[in-house]
Amino acid sequence: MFLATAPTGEKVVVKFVQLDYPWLGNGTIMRNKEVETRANREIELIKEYSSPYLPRLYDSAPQDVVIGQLTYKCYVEYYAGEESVAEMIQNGAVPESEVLKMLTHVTSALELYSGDKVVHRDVKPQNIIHDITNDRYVLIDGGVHIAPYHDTITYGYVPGTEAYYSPEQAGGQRRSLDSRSDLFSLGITAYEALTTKHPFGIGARTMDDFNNNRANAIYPKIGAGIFKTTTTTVIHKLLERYPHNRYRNPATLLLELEEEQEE
Amino acid sequence: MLLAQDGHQASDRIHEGITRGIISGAVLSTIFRKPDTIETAMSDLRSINNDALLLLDNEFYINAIVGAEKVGKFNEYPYYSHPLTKKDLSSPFKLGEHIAKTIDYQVEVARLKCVTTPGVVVESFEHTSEAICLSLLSGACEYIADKHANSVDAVYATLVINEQAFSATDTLPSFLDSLTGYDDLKGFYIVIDKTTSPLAYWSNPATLAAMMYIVKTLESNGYEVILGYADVPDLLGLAVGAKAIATGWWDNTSSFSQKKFMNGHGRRNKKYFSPQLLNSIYIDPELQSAKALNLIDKITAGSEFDAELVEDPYDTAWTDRIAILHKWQCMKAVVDDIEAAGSEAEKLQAVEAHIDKSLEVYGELTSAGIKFHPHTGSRKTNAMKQAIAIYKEGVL
Repeated sequence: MFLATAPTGEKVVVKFVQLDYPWLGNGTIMRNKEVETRANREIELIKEYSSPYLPRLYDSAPQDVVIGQLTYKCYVEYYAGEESVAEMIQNGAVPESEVLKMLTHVTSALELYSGDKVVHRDVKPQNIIHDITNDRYVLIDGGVHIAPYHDTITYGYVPGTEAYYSPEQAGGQRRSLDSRSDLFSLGITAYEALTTKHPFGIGARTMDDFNNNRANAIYPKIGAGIFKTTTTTVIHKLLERYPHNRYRNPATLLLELEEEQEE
Repeated sequence: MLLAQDGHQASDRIHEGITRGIISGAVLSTIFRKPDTIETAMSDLRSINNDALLLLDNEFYINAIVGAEKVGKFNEYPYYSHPLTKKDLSSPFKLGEHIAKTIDYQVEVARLKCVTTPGVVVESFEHTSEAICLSLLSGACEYIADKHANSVDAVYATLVINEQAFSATDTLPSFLDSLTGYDDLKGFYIVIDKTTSPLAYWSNPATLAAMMYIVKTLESNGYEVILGYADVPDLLGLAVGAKAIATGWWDNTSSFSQKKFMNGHGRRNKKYFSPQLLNSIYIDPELQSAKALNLIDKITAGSEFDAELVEDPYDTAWTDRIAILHKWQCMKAVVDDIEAAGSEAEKLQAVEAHIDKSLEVYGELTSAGIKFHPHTGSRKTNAMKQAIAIYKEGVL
């Protein structure tokens, strides 16, 4: 990725996704179809949805660029922001008001997706960018999303970052995934932003411990006395073990968050 | 909210029940009505009360019930196709045809704005029938969105669950995860298939608690829940968020079983609904024994319908019409009590108060020597009390 300035003066990000890889050092160049599909899907997704909380393509068609012997998918996005939520967490706990704002903005983005039954599948602190200039949070990297009636793009491994998977996503139930899986991942992100700790990593010594904590939603609840009741209620509900105990969809969560802001 | 469950010759009773404000609507049945009369029946009832909650139980599930022969007028409906095998329902093409016929009838012939999806009896939460049920549901939602989006105001999913499915509740959460993933539904029309016996279902606290959990979950997810073929134990569902329960007078309209469509399932002895006992008891001999022992006041409601019967329980003038209006009026009083309570805890308290009163009266009558049939005794109310405890503990 390269930060650049467009002729209009706006900041943009130029993305190069490597599509070709040398095969076993024998000089043969192989196309990684999986990566290509993911890149194309991300581009499709960006084109399809318009929201201040989702990335936007710069007005130039994505194209394949050959550099040396390797082909890259090149596309340009408007600059989404200055820092990721992951970077914010590295600097300490994120203020509650910012976490609520982040929740509201990302939920707005997910609401658009859920209308078409699209699941992002990779909501995590690294994929939420804070645009300080415009006071907004942008959900990026929709390359691993699945849409209804499309086969999954992965076969050998499960995409996304496992630490932020919902229990049903970690269980490999990809066909039954819906927006509530993304809401669970958003819950982990919000919890981590508030406390700087991953809820299911607390007290876990092994990956099995971690997986068990997640599968059974075992984690220390956030103190209601420290944060607003709405904040803790929302996060705890997002982290419910079963999807039917979470918010029914992003729109329902958004309504609750907006009511809180009005109060 | 109390609704009438349609039954044989129930038209005038439903009409009267809505007119008197005893019931708030009805679930009509294809078994008792010809396909070309549904539209008129609905509009007649709506003309009495424009806010009446009216639903058609499309009864598609009968098609897949083995041995269903007593289907009344259902075989005149365009989507009647009994017998359907699981194989028939596993083919997406055939499934699509059945869905289209069931929905098209409701929208284009019966002119319903509020439609119910076709369903099958879910035998267990990990059985093929569960997958077929969800396929019918998904297919119906897509079909309505594609073809009838402009003419349909509300879609209720039909969910018929065999009581035996509740014996393995570990698979229930996954089923609920699937059910709560439908954004296009307004609610669920739920019928529990009490194939073993209604008493077996109503006497099992764990099963009742599971029913409460289903209702609570669906309600928490923003769906309306209507419990069909309901009776007193379903008041528990009402306390945890069901919008309405639909009940009739006859055993086969206050309890659903696949057996009702099979030959040999006949009428029973006349019963009287006692709000004090929270149960229907036999007039002969139970009510008559209470009269003989001067204990009839402990049982009777003092409704506008039962004065003559209280005076003379040997009187044969206790007609089906009077019996059903009396039961609806008594049930409505209990329903009103529950609905007047604010929180879920308060609603459950309201039900418990009725249960405790019932157990107290049963105790007095039994001590006086009155023997109750297992169906009319206190087993159901005892089970309800235990179900509340299980539900509160969140044992599920």
